[in-house]
Amino acid sequence: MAKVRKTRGALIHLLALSLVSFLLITISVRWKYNSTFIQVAVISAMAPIQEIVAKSTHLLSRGVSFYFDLVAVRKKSEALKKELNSLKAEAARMAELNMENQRLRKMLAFKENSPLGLLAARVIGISATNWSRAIIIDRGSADGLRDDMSVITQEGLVGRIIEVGLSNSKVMLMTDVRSAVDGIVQRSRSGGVVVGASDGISLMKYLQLDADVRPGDLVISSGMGGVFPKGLIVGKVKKLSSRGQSLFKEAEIEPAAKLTSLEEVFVVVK
Amino acid sequence: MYAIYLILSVVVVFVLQSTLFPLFFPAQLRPDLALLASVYFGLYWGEKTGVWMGFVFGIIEDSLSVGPLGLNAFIKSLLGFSAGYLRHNIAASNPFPQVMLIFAASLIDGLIVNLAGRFLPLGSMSLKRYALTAPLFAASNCALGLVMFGIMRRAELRWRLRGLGGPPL
Repeated sequence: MAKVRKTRGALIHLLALSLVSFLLITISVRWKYNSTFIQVAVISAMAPIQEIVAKSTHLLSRGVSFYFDLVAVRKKSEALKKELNSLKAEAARMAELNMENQRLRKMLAFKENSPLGLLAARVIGISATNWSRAIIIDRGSADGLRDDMSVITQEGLVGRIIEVGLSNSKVMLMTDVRSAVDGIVQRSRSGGVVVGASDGISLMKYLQLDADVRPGDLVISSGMGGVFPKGLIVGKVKKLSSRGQSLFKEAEIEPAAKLTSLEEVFVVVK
Repeated sequence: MYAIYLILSVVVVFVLQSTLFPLFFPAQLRPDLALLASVYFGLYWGEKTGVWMGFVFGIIEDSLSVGPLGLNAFIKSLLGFSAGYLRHNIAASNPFPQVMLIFAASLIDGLIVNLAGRFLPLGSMSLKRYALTAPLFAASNCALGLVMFGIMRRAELRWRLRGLGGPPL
């Protein structure tokens, strides 16, 4: 009963307010929607609040926009970093190709002018221990290589082949302690044997005490022993020494070929 | 004291409706907070509060928009009353009837505005356009309505727990 009374009361309110609404609609339409005092009052009351909220919203919106801009800039920066790294790698590759090109040009010129039969090979590995001086090249028996073939660069002698595989070979460098090259001093024709020393240099042993050898003299292979052809540049005399009662003197030889940075070499096949 | 709660509700609803919502919702999908609040007060506070709050929300809405003053006041008070009347016949706190009620209220709101436009020099959209846009508008109202009802109900219960009054639950 109370519920029905409540509903009836609310219905009366609804009817009254509907009447007010229709009245307002009528007035509003009659006045062609010109502002009534109610509208003016409502707008005036809401305006300050709206302004504060609008300003806050604007600030918030700017903050959010700034954040998104930052995220976008960060993404762009990461993309640019990636691109830069890629370009750096590309530049390094190009520089590498350019250097390789220059080396190969020099080698080609050397090969064309050399009376020897030469086969170019790429160094694919270096000795795995500290106690030996050797390199691995990408040519083997399939290319006609055999043991004891000489290996050189345009600068000079590198060493000789000591093991031949099907498609690769091991080359003992002239600085290895087991290496021996019969050499002569180009200027005075004084002979000796160039052997490897453990510290990456070579020594020319068995030089006569009266042999005419000076620092800076060029040492070449003599062709004796049948391993190295005659006339290959072995190195340059760096220092001379003789031990007290010894019958011979010896010279420290700086190898002509840059044995620590070999990349391409020639194998003397004829 | 609960008059303060009601006034605060009105202010918050119109501040959100007129400043924040235009930033986040496209015009056709912008929820009508005044409609949702009218339904809410009808549903939880009863027919009488529904009628009065609907009228207040409607008259402010009319004042802040283009159109004859009183049209929304009439519609919202009618919706407030209807929600209050129906709450005795449905499980008012259950989300499903709430969604149905909001959906129906949204369609009726659009329909009355559209019909009024045919009798008053307001201009109105075609029925086909109404049929296309009204369900979307109603759906966005439903989505927001569920969230809003939850928030308002929680705020109201806290208000009551502090002994600040309100009609019987």
